[in-house]
Parts: sequence; C-alpha cells; structure tokens
Amino acid sequence: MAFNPDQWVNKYADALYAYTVVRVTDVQQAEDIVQNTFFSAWKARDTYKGQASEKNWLYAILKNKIVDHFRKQSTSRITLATGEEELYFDEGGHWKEESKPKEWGSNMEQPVEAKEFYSILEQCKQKLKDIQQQVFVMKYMEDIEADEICKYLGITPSNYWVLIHRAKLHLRKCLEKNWIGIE
Amino acid sequence: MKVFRLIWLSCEKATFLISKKEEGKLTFIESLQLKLHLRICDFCTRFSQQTKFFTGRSQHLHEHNNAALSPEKKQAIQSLMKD
Repeated sequence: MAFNPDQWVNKYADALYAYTVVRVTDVQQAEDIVQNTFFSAWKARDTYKGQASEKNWLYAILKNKIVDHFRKQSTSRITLATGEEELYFDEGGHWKEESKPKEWGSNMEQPVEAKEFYSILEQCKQKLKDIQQQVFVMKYMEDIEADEICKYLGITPSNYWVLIHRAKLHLRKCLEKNWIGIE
Repeated sequence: MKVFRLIWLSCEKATFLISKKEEGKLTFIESLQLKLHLRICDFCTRFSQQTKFFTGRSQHLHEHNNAALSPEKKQAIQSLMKD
C-alpha cells in the first residue's frame, strides 16, 4: 500500500482542511488542526502498519484532533441560558403560529441545487452558539454517541438533549427561511 | 381522562423526544407518547422528517466546500515534516 509522507501535503492538505473547516468553523483553528495532524502523522510514520490506507490513517488522526479541540474548548461548568425554546413554543408547549414547520415539498426529494443547500446549511450551522455547534458536529457529522459526547465536553446528558433540541430547532428554522425561502 | 393525561405530549416535549429516540433512550411510556403524538400532529411530523433530512446530510458538508489551504501554509507545513 502506498505510503509516501513526502506527498501527503500535496495530496491531502486541501481535503483535510475542507473537512476541518466545516466542523470547527474558525479558519485559523482549522489550519492549526490540519498542521498538527500532518506533524503528528509524520512523527508517528514509523508506527504505520498498513492496516488502513494512508488516507484513512490521516483522517483518523485528524478526527481525533478535532474532537480534542472541542474538548479543550469546553468549559466544564456550562450553565444553559433559558428561554431559547420560547422562540418556537408557547407556555403550553404548542408551536407558536409563526414557528409551525411548513411543508418543504419537493425540496426534500434529492435537492437539485445540492451546492446551494450545503452552503446554506453551513451558514445556518455557523449561526448556532459554539456549544450547540460542537454537539451537532460530534453527533451528526462525526457520529459519536451521546454518552461519549457528554464525556468529552463535560456536560450532563440532560444538557446534551437540550443543546441538540435547540440546535435542530434553530437549523430547521434557518433552512426553512433561507433555503426553502419561507419567512 | 387519566389515560389521556398519561399519553399526552406537548409539541415541545415531542420534538425533544425525537432526538432521544435516535439514540434509543426513550422509556416505554415516552415511546408510546411520541408515537401517538406524531400520528396526530402534522407539525411535529414535519419537524421529524425535516431534521432527519438535514442531519443525515450534514456529514457530507465538506464534500461541497471548496476551501483550500494557501500555498504558503502548505509550504510551512511541509517544512515541519523534516528530521
């Protein structure tokens, strides 16, 4: 199996960077993570046993760095602000009139303008609070289990569910407004 | 009336439980409550389908992003990878 550290930057730098920047959002931090990934991989190159392709090996290191970045960013004592749900629900927990999910119709069948959908999704994700983005990325982009995410971020399961709920409420609304085009 | 109170869910709680369900963390009662709620509530059903739609696609975000590292940055990284 091909294993050419000299070619890594050439072959994988842009792909690793794109993978990272949509997850951590901050350009500078994404650059640092990619740089650290290559450096760690290069230092560990003698331990490469060839079970994974060199590409998958680099991605595995990168994914660890991304989770580690979130872990370092998390402040262990998170107090959640109250009231974000009130944007969408009344006191009885019913949808507010203006927040009721609308029909998305044919947009849900294979988006014609995939590029547009993804760029709006990315913008909507960037509008979330940092901690909401982190749980969203770990759960839905990195496919990590809730228990693990709580451990990494030092949050309680009940806070985790609140964060995931809010992230979905905000993202859904933002997509409906900017992608579907319903105010 | 008692039974109704037992199985009734608000939309706020129902949408909350949808995420918990993905993780297989619903109690028996919760799962019954959610099932019944989704059968009668179009809005929460939409919420469920639409959130599934975008969460399922979010792992492909980077495939549609053309971000690239500058040649200078690449050179800087390359220069670190030397004995």
